[in-house]
Amino acid sequence: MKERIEKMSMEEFVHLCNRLVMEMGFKIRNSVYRENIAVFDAYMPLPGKSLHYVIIFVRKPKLTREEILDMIDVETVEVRWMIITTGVYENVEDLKRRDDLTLMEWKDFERLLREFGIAEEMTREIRGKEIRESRILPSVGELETMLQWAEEFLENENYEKALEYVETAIRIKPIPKALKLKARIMEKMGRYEEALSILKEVLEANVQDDEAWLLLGEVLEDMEDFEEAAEAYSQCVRFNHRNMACWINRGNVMLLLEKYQEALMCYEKALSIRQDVPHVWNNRGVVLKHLGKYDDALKSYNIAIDIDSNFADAYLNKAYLYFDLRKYEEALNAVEEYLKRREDTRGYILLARIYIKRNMKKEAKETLEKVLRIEPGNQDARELLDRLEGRGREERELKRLKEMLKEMQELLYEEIERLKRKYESLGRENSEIESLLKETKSLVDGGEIEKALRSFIELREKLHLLETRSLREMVEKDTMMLLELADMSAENINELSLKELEILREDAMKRILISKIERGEEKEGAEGMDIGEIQKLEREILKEVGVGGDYPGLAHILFEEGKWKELRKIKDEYAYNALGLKYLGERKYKRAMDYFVKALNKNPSFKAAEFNLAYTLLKRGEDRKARALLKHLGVAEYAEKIKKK
Amino acid sequence: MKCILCGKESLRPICKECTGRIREKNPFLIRRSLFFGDLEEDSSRAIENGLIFDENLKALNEMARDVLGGKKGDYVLLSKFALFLHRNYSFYLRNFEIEEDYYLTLAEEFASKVRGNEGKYLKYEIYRERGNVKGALKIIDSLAKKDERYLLEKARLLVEMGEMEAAEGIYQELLKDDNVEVWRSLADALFHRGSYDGALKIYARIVELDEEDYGAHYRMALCYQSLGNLEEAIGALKRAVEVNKYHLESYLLLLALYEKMGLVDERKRLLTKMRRIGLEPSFFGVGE
Repeated sequence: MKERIEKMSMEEFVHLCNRLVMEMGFKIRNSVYRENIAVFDAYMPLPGKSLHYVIIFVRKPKLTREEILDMIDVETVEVRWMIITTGVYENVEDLKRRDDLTLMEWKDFERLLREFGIAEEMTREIRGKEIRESRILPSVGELETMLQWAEEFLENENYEKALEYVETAIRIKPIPKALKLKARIMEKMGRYEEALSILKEVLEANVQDDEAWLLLGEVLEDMEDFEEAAEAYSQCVRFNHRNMACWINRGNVMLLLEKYQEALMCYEKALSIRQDVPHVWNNRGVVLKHLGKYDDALKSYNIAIDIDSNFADAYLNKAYLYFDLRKYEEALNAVEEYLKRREDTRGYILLARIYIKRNMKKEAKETLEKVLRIEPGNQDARELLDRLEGRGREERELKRLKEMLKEMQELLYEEIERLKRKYESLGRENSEIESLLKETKSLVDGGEIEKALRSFIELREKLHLLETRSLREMVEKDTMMLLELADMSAENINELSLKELEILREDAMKRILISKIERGEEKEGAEGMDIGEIQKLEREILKEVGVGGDYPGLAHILFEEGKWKELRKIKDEYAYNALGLKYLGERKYKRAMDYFVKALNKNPSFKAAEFNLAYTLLKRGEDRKARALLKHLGVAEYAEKIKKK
Repeated sequence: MKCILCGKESLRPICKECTGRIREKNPFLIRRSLFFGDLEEDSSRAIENGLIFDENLKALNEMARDVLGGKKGDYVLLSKFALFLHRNYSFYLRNFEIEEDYYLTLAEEFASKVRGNEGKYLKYEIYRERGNVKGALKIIDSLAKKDERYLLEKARLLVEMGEMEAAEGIYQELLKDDNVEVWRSLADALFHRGSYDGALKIYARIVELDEEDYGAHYRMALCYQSLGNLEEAIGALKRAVEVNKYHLESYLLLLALYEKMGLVDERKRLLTKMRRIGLEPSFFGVGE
């Protein structure tokens, strides 16, 4: 490419430089050229401020310090100089340190040409020929149809079906479009390695496929390999510098990697393509803040808010910025605006910090207590509260550990008592269980928690066996009684499974209920039976066979009161749901999910647990399962609302 | 027993004093949602969906507190919410030292401020919940005389009361147009009364008129099951899940029937089908 540029006429070279300057986002005021030098008087338009640049292009194999000093006016302030050459520099070490001067030699020049798509334009002619020679067109419409269906299934998150169709399409003809679609499906299914291998195949066939590079970046980002993802994104924009999604993704990765200058450039590029995306302005603000450009950061957040006045994140970032600048009044206003739009712990914690700075201890304490009500385990809130109350970290940790040990011992004693009561209530003697009970207690006394827990497991298993045996006998006896009441025969009852016994009991209960209703009808004569009366009878019968606990929903009250210790002793669906809610609030999704599943296992028609499970699944990224539950509940539209949260 | 909040002797987990304290601030007693609470929803819609979030509970408790304190509010909404709680969460009251019909009393108090037919209909619903069917009939009768739209509800009540002849007269009149809504009302009334044979015939008519009514297919299956015809029940359930592939109740009943009939392969296939659409069987305590 260097050769091509060197052979260009001066007019062609100026035209090329003009294009590059404009693509880089500068506005050109004036340009002059002589011999092998082109000079552009330009400025970089930034919201509220413009930076004045003089950009000089030189076609020369070598450029010395003196030649550079001849070109620039060292006395001028407020002007930044950028010199770009097709050759290299000599003796310019001290000049490189100057803030107002940027020196770029051939490798930088080439990189700019590539990044801003001009190199691609220069080689388009050659590429066109290659594409013509290797063009792949589907021979039948079937291929397009298959791909369309696969896309539709992908959109509806039915990944298995989408995969089925895309594979059929690939069997017809493995065109890049189909392969890329398959990679997207694999990514959604979490099969990242397979997605990578497909994308590699696509890129081996055509290294300039920007869409494939973008996808590759996204997969690598999912795999948390940010360095590689950044590399993939830079390849993507190399081949298509107008790919806005890629600029944004690249910016986000750079931000994660703390390469703020590069992140800023990416966001600027994205904004030169479209200016109405508040997220980009917001992220740009974050980057500018990291770079210490507070005024520019503030302007960027304000633009995000101007575009979408409900964009809460920008208010929070604005509040953080004011806070860092110790402008607490402004920070307070911004955080209040944020909390109006989204009430969450981040907002409240910042609010508390502002109160602390303004010495409003009472308000700070109330706010932090509010955070702990929303998210009981919030570490920041606890630390701030401790600081307010004058407690040290070590003291607090020690106290916490002591409390934990004590709590654990108390729980274990209670558990031993519970198991003991359970054992006694079974009314059967078992020397093995008795000695295990004693042994476990002495282990807890000695604080040997780990050994005690092992002993507990053994104890529970033995007790469970004993309990199952005696429960079976009880159920058999109970069923026999019900069958007798219902006037039903009872053969081979000891051969039936527990589930079958349950069905038999239900049948018997229904019969008893019907016969009671019939008797009631006879008594009431032509007026028939009162509905309230039937419900009362139903309740009576349910009571007879002991269905339902004494205080259902008690666990939920304990949850409302934050009494976790008592709550954990209850083993019904409300208790499991309440614990699930607690963990979901703490964003411990796996544990929350386990509890909601437990609640649903207890009672499959428990809608609250089903909804909460769907919520948790969405948070864990298991969209398909979550959406199925929401569809069953008839509130499929909630999926989007939850995802936005 | 001792009150879990103050530790004083109490008849229920929450003593009278603590109940009074909670009630004063939160007349509906429930303070935090059973549903994860960071979503916002219009209160009427929330009651309709049965998904009451923290924000809804807070707003409704506050409004009820204001109304009980003499201020104005949306009486219809409050009454409907109290009725909703009575129907779905009355078990919650058993933890408090409070009357068992507390939610109904609240609903009555709010409904008494609602004028016109809307107020009367709320009263009708409350009477029905109280089991006062004669009182309920009186109200619905007077409403039906003014407005024909209440006729269907009257007929339904009559069926549930066992007044088949009187109900039949109304249904015959209403069914002249072969209206599927009327058929549904009749079938559901018979179903709730336990007249499965009669209900079954009408559900069959409903699915002829509206094949997509998966609820009717499902109830047909329940009727067949009660009548001991498990093969037909399975057929009806298969149709229900064809129409609505997310109808979990049908899947669960179908699995139970396959298990009962020892149809191992069919059961396995159904489990796979559930997994494929995202309904994970292990969530509901069923599996291989």
